[in-house]
Amino acid sequence: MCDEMPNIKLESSDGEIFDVDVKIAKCSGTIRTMLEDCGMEDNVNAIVPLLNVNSAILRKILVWADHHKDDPLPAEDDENKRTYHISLWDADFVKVDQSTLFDLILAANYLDIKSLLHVTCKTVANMMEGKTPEMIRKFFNIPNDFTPAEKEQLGAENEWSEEE
Amino acid sequence: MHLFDMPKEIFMEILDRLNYEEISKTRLVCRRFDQQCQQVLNRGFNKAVKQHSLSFKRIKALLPRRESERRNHNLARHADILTSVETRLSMLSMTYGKYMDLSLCCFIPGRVLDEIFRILRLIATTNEPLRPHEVLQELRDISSMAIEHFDEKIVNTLKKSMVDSNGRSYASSSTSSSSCAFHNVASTSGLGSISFNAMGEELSSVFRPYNYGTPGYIDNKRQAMHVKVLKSNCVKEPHQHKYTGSQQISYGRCSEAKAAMHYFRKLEVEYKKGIVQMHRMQQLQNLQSKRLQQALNAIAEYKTEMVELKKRFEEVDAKNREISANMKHINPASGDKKPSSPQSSSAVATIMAKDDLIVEQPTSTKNLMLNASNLITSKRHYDLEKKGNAEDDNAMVGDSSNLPKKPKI
Repeated sequence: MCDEMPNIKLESSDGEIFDVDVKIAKCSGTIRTMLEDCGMEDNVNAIVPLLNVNSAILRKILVWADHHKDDPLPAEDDENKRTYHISLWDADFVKVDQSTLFDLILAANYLDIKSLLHVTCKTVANMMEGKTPEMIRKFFNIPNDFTPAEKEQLGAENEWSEEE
Repeated sequence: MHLFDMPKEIFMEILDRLNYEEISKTRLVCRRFDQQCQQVLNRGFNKAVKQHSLSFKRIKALLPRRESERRNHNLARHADILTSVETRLSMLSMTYGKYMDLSLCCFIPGRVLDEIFRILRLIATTNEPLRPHEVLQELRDISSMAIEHFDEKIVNTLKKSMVDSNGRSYASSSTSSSSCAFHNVASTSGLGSISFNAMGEELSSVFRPYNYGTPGYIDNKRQAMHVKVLKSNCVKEPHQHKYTGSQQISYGRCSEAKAAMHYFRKLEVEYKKGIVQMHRMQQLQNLQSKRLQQALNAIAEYKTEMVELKKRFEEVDAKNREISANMKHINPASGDKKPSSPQSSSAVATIMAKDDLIVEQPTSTKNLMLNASNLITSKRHYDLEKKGNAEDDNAMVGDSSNLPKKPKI
């Protein structure tokens, strides 16, 4: 069955070419539109250039797409984003260093893979959750650029919930 | 790669995955976090208002049209809850909306938003009757806490900073205008910084109330753009080509810069006028709200008075009935006369007069005064009579020795 599926070629920003199943490639909205609108679906030798994704990230994304090729498209509800839970496989998949995780987010955004964007963004959000501002600064290496007056004002604004 | 290397939209996507309480806490990380989190919180509040109205429409459409049927419907409690949420939303809007519109602050209590969305989700997913008190308890508590805290501790700071910002912007405008008009020689950076400060303060007053005169807070792109515009204004000036580097350049002759400054001053004057108008409107609003509060208090007082009077009337009526029953019991012949009826009717009249206090106060007070004056005059008559009788008695007693004794019959 798998042999019968047509393949297409994806070219990463560093020139590496990946031979991919069309079904897997179509997890990406950008590639799907490209194939459908440009009539590249039937052209077996066509190469789709992905200028913003390097080979390491593209390889990882293809692994993810292969695992999720049969998943339905996620709902476009904003409030669902907050209640979204990551599956175990996805949690393992995003166990990478911060830089790779941010690269994955950018690639998912460029390739328009909503589920992957959900997973990666939620992972970063989870990294922030339950941490104090100081801990977040330390974790993401962010300098504190508030003046003492600003810090005091912000503290006062958030005081109400601590009065409990 | 760093978190801040990612575009703003992606950063917002990440923040969208946090709950609103977390977002309000995360504001304290750094300025960029603060800016983005403020946007998310404001958007969240607007979304809550929108989602509530949609939910209310849906529930209203599902409820029967007849009041009697509606009362016993499964979704009746849903509608009650949504009405309460609407009240809470309007209270929050009245508290924060004005300052959010002026970009002086954001919708601070993220936790309240989480609670509102929880209730809206509950209403969207459940069709069984809910218990409004239980569902709304938390929202009522935390929204009141947030509003009280804002009114007591934050509003004063915001108002103060608003006044300061006006003062500063006027001062900066005067500085910039004077520098342009009277200082024939000024360095490139000097002119840039003068006009930039003026602009910077204006911008920062829009972004944050407590950050005046700190250009670092302003979006770097805007800074760059503004400096670019100022530079481009002076590019055509031949002096710039002659004097470069640390040499001072005369901008007094730069007609475009003058025109730009003139335009800037015009805008500032308009801005000033706008601020004055806004202050007036705020004062009017405060006055109206005070009056409304007073009227509401008066109504509440009248209501309590009415309730008390009704109670008294009922007591008096009950006593009268008792008395009449006793009278009947003691003297069945005089039972035909009903002593209670005129009293009760007069009591009813008094109560009615009191009931109409709000609508026809002058008439009722007149009646009351008439009744009071009648009572006083009747009492005076009674006292006088009593006094006269006593005097007569005394006279009788005193004169009895002088008077001839009545013959015994």
